[in-house]
Amino acid sequence: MTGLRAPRAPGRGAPAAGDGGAGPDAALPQPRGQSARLRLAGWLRRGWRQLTSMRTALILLFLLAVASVPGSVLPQEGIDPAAVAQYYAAHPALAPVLARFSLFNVFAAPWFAATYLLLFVSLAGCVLPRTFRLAGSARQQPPQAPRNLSRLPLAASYTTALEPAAAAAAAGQLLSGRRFRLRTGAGWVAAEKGYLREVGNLLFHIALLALLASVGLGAIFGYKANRLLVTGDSFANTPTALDVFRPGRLVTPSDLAPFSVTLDRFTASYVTSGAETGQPLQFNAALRYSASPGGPVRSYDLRVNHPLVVDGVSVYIIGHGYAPEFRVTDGAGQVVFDDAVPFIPVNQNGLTSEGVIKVPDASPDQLGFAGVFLPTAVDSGGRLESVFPAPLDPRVSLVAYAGSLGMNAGQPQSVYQLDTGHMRQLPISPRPLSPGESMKLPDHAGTLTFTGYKPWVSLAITYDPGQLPALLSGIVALAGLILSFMVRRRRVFARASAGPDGTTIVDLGGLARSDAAGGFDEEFAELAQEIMVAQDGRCLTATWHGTGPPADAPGADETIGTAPGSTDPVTGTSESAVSSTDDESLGHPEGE
Amino acid sequence: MNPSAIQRGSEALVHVNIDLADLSNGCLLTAVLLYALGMLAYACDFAFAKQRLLAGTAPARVPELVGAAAAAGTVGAVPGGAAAGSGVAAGGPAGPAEPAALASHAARPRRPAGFWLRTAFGLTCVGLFAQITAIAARGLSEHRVPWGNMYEFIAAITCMAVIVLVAASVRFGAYYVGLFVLIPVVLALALDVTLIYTPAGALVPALQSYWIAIHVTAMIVAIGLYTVGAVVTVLYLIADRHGRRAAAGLPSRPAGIIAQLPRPVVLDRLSYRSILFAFPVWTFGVMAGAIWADHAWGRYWGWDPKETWSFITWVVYACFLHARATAGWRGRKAAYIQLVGYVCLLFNVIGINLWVTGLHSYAGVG
Amino acid sequence: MYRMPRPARRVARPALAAPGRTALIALLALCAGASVTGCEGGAIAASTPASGGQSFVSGSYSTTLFRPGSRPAAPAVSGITLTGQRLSTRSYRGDVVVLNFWGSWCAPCRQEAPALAALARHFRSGHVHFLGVDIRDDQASAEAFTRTFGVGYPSLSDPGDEIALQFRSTLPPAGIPSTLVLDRSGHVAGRIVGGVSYSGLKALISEVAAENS
Repeated sequence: MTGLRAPRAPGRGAPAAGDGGAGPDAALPQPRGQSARLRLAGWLRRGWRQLTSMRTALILLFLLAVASVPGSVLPQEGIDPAAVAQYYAAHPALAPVLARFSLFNVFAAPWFAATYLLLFVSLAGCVLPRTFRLAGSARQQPPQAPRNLSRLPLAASYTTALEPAAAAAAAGQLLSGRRFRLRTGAGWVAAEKGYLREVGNLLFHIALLALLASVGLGAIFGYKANRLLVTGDSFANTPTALDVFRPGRLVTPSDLAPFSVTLDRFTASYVTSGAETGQPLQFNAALRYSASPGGPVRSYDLRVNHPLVVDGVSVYIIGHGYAPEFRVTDGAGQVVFDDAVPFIPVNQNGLTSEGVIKVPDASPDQLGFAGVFLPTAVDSGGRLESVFPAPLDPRVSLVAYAGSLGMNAGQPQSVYQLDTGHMRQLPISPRPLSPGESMKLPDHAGTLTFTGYKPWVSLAITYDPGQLPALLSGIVALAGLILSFMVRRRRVFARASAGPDGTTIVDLGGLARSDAAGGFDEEFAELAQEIMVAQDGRCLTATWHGTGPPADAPGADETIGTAPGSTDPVTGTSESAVSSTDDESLGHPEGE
Repeated sequence: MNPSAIQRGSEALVHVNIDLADLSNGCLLTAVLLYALGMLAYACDFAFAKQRLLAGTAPARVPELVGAAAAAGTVGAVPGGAAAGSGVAAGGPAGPAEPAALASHAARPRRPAGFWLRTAFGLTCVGLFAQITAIAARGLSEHRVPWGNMYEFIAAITCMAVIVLVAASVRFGAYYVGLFVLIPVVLALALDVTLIYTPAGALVPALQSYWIAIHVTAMIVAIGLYTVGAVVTVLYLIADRHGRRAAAGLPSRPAGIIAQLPRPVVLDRLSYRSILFAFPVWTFGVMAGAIWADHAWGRYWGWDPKETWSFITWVVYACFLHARATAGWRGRKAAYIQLVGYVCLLFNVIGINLWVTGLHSYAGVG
Repeated sequence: MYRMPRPARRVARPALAAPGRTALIALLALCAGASVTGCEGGAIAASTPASGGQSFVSGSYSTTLFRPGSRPAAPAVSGITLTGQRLSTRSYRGDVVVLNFWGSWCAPCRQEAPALAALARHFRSGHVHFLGVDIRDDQASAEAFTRTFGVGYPSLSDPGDEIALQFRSTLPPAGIPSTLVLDRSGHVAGRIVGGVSYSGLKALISEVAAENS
């Protein structure tokens, strides 16, 4: 590959001015500031060119894939914070190091964002100029027909009695009838088809940009929330009522659609026999909801895959469990607690659930209880465990504490965790309670009664205005992808010249810029046959190099000396999905 | 609230037709046996067949132009023994009105030649029929789409791989790939029916949606195509290495089989075609999965491990497609990228289900 | 055999050596990443930041004050008190109302409770009414709470968040505890998110009470 001609080293030969042999770099000395600015501009321009090159895109794509790997093998905070906590406990030395690099929150990490942002900048920088070029070249003509068509991968020739001009014109007419774009000259015709490929290609990449924008739209204007709802309770879509509220950047509490939901009944069915005993079959949460306070109340059966949609906000059921009910009487004989307490399942087979009860207003001491709820309690070797997720024989087993819960100091606590640092465990043997049974606390500290249990459901509430645009972008991307894979850009040339004894020899040549999907060979054969038959021609030769160059061609499946991104017309298999528009190099006669 | 509010009727019976389930198991075992025999026959074909019509070395479609006075002109053909392809008698005069003989053989399949190859292909087809029967019977026995756990999923993707094999054989004459595709298929099915077997049953609530027929089906189709692409790419790499070593005069081991395979560039092209088909299907599958995830869990992308690895697989195959368009990256380097993509795919399909817990843990294994 | 034509344009060689290229990419990447982290959506003050079903209120605090004339109008709040009586803020028209959203399970609410109880006693005869709104509590726990802290003012229970919803178009409580101070004409003069301090709230109430409607 020839590059720039090396400039003459200064100090040798004649001085630059007036010497015809000096290279372009032997320029006059320039003022300092200007050359520095030019250097910077050149540096930036080269840097931009690097960024938008295919090679950089390759590297960034690969980096993106590699960067996603830790996000799937390490526990992530956004998905399962409990698992992250477990990881910390299991790897106390390694975990903080990983956390420093945001490896527990990979997809919100700055380096991950940098990778995909850089990739999209590269994509935009490559695709947008090409779009303008495509729009501008809507009427661009195919290149001239080369002189020697027999050198093209597909070639044929025949003789005909028509005049050369007429023969070429007739061929052109037939090609034009097949929706080829034509360019005619003296005794030759060049035809090209398949511009939709570039359209599809660009559409795909632009749709990816639009997808990113849609995701951003949702992140800015949308919100996600969670709420755990016990049977019989209601809640409204307002921040005080939500357990978890993750608003987008520009979302304020008054933007939330003010619907209310009541859970009337939750039913679940499970497989009762066979190898899959305990596998859930159906969940059904019977809800009543109203879109605004005072509005009409409607019913809905909320199930998995059947979300409730109110005012553009979607409500999903993402989990369920049990909330055993307790009544606590304190030492003074007053009822200080009488509520259902949601217990969180720790295993899915029998829905064994753990929970805590905090009674901060018991006197003389605050009380706390921690334990498990077993829907179908079975004694296995002295230990109780739950073997089936439905409440066929529910038991609760609690440990009691008295002392200070630490709540009065104002430090927020999770309602599912009990801090026993300032509490003493009360000396009761943890006897499993059946519904209706009570546990008497020693030293007249009070009584706890297990009064019953209710199911709860965990609801996810999401609002994402970028959802529909993302879907549309995805569809457009897919359409563009399929279009770019299916459409081939191809050229057919015809050159008619006067042959011996008055006949005309017509040479046909065909070239596919991308034949990866195959099929151009047949198309060329058909076209050639049609053209020939239409002119009463007689076939002379037909050559076909479809499977690639002969074995002695060097580097048959590697390109030699081509500009990055341009095509390799010989093999036909190596074609840029994102092809450059260096069309001028194709189909030209030997030389430039 | 008293306990009776909770439905005690967890007595839901799962209606499974045991006879059909047994039929399905039997058919699948039959399929595995037939594939194994087919493998042997393919191997025998490599070993014993003397005169093989090398599918793919010669162009399947020769653009011969039949003229009026063929005696005056010569019908040139590409060297490579394409005599069987044209079907047009050379040298016989034909009238000007004779219809073009070219288009007729444009899509004509090549037939397998030789006893062993025909036997092997026949066994493969019969095995495929048995496998399709097995899957259909399983679906009928469970009254649902038959891909709801790992056992059914692997049965489906191996079935798809064999379908792609058969289609490639018929359409592109790629019979030579048979042995190499059947090896992983038989291995996977053997593992499937022994270790991963799950009896017929119902779907968990999260999977009870019509989306399972869209999303999982697309994934199955794409995985079958990717599998065949990966197998052919491995062949390409081996053949290419052999070719380079032979050109340099060095000895190279599996010379016998390699010599019977088409040229590396043909293998490369076949593999590229598989990926061209698979990539849009995979893209569609990921999109359908996102739509379903939004429908079921409230968000269309949550970086769940399965989603993340589908994304990684997609990106690596996109990398592959870009590499094909970059000078210096075509050929071997692109082939390696494709294999990396396939490894990611395998991890996505198997590793995630077995070793990582996420929202996609429907394997039913363990 | 087809000979490869020379490209018409000269090929631009990469001007930067490989290390320079890498440095450029890394630099751009860092810039991009730094800009993005600033764009991440943040939780609104006093909303619950934890995920995975853990329910607690964060400890971010904010005070918003409105000048007279630009105060949003507060809706009338009515309901059943913990002692079973009907109550409405309409009967408080012309007086200052301090509306406090609380729950017995909420630690910051417990911390501010003594201050609120004391302030209620302080302003008892000054045409200032304190009203609590109890969120996600059961009757027994709420009553026990009022006993523990000697809360002398009534509280409405709001199990369905109706009262919170009523404020959605004016100044919805962003979490609990939240305290709204309504002036004599029923407009919101100030909102405190997070636990109140005795002196701070006292100053605010005094100022609002001193206004003549």
